[in-house]
Amino acid sequence: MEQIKQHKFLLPEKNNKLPVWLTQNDNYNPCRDRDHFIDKTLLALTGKLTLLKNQPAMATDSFFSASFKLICTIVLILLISLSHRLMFPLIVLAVFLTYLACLDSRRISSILKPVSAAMFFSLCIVLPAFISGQQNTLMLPLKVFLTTMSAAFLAQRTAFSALTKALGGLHVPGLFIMVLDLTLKYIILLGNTAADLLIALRLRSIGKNDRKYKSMGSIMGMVFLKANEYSIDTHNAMLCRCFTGDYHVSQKHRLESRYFIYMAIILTMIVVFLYAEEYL
Amino acid sequence: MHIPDNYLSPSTCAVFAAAMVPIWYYSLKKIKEDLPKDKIPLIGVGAAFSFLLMMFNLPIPGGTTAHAVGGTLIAVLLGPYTACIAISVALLIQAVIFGDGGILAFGANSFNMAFVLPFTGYYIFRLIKKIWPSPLGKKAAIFIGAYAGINMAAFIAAIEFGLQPLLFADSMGHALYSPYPLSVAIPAMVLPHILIAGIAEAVFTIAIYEFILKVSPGMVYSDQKTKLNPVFALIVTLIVLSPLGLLADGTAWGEWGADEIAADTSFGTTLGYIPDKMINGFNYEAFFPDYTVTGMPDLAGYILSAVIGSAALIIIFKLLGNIKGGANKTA
Repeated sequence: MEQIKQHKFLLPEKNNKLPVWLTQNDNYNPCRDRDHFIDKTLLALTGKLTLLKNQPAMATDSFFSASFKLICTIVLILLISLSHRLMFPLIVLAVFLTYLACLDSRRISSILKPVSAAMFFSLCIVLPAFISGQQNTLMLPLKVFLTTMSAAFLAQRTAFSALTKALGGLHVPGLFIMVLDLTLKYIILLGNTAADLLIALRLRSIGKNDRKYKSMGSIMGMVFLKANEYSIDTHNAMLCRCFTGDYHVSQKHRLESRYFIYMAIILTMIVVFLYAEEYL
Repeated sequence: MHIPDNYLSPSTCAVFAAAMVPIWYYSLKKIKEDLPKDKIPLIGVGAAFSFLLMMFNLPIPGGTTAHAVGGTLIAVLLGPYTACIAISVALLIQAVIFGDGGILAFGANSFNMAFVLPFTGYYIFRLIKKIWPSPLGKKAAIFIGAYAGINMAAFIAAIEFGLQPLLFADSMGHALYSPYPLSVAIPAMVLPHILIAGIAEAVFTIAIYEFILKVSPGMVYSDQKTKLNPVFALIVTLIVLSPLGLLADGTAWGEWGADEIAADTSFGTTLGYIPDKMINGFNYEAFFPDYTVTGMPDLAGYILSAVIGSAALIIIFKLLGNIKGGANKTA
């Protein structure tokens, strides 16, 4: 009965005139609202997610295996940190700059951005000492520049899955690798969830929405709940696949001729370091 | 030709830095308007060439040295405005990292080598090419342009040196900065460049230009292919050969340290004193003072400096090409 009444109300009047409210121009101009926060967060999230999603597309058939790159980076960072004289860091700088000069501009800037940030931070720390006349303090920013750059090279040129596999080869506990692997997958999943929620919030905010920032807590809460849901699902899925708590990273060990080249490279690095530090 | 700090008064340095600001601004504007986007990274290649050429010191009779700059080469390949920016950045890296040329004198050095040299060389090249429009005429134009460009730059540098004792002296009549008047500075700077460095600049310019024309004609003509690999191979060759610059073990005229200047005999007799501001003036210690690394043989240090300098220049201009854009057209 109620529905019929509503229907009647919507029908045009007997003289076939349009209702008054339909003839009036809708003069609604929503106030401009600032979406900087959502825009920036969305951009940052999407950027990081794209980067992570593109990881599997990275070339895995490189001559240098992920294990070698990992060991080489660790040894290099160690040697740079141990050097007391300027010579070894400068040799490494020459090699790094030559490699960088061969890359395209986008890749160069993606490597140099975080590296320069780290270097400027350490430069700010040593600046008072430098101004007061301790010129050798500039060694610290140089070392920070080189060590972060070697880590950036590793991250840029190696897929994360290959890195976790390499960690397995180095006998890093399986649980640690599993946490790393799962973390990466969760970052992508939860990042997608957060991006969807932010887009939803933006679409529903017509005009000026003062309560938008209050919704941020809800978004974070929702992401947390989703994380909980995902973790239960993952655990159940793993149990179904006979997960016993052990996490094996399968490794095939076979001596290949390229391993000798790997060893030669690492030995050369150590010899150059010993020469530069005048131990030889 | 790299004027060190304390050879020119801070006020002279400020004048030249102020003169360079509009030149840099206008050059950047012209690059953005005129240079195709895909050619912007080539500025780094040009700057690397210039950087390496400046490392080849040539011995001059009398115990000093001089070097080529390569300014006309970049000006002919990419235009004078591009040459101005490329050489300015190369000079900045030389001053900050290698201590070659002063920090305060950066404006004056840029005026001489990044403005006077490429613009003189380029417009003389254009003039001769117009008068003599044949392949041989073009070669002659490049040769004469490069020769005239570096000599004009040396002449301007000599005037900058020569004016200092006239303007700045203490009560004893001793110069506070560069002690040589125009009558000493002009012949001392210009003669070695007319006789040796100018010819070296012209020969280097024509040889590298011909090489680039052969292997990568796209760098010269916009409708042809640009191949960078042979050009990089040439840069690597120049890096490997750069220690030849160490064979000339003297210091270039007007580039002495405070310890060397008292024994200089440009006047006919030794100077006998060190100008006051050279002892008590501005002092900056570079990472690689004079392209050497402490504890490393000079030869290896020189090659290392050449690698770092050239790679840094290529990276800087690749990044600038990414940020600045350039003309929205392709070659």
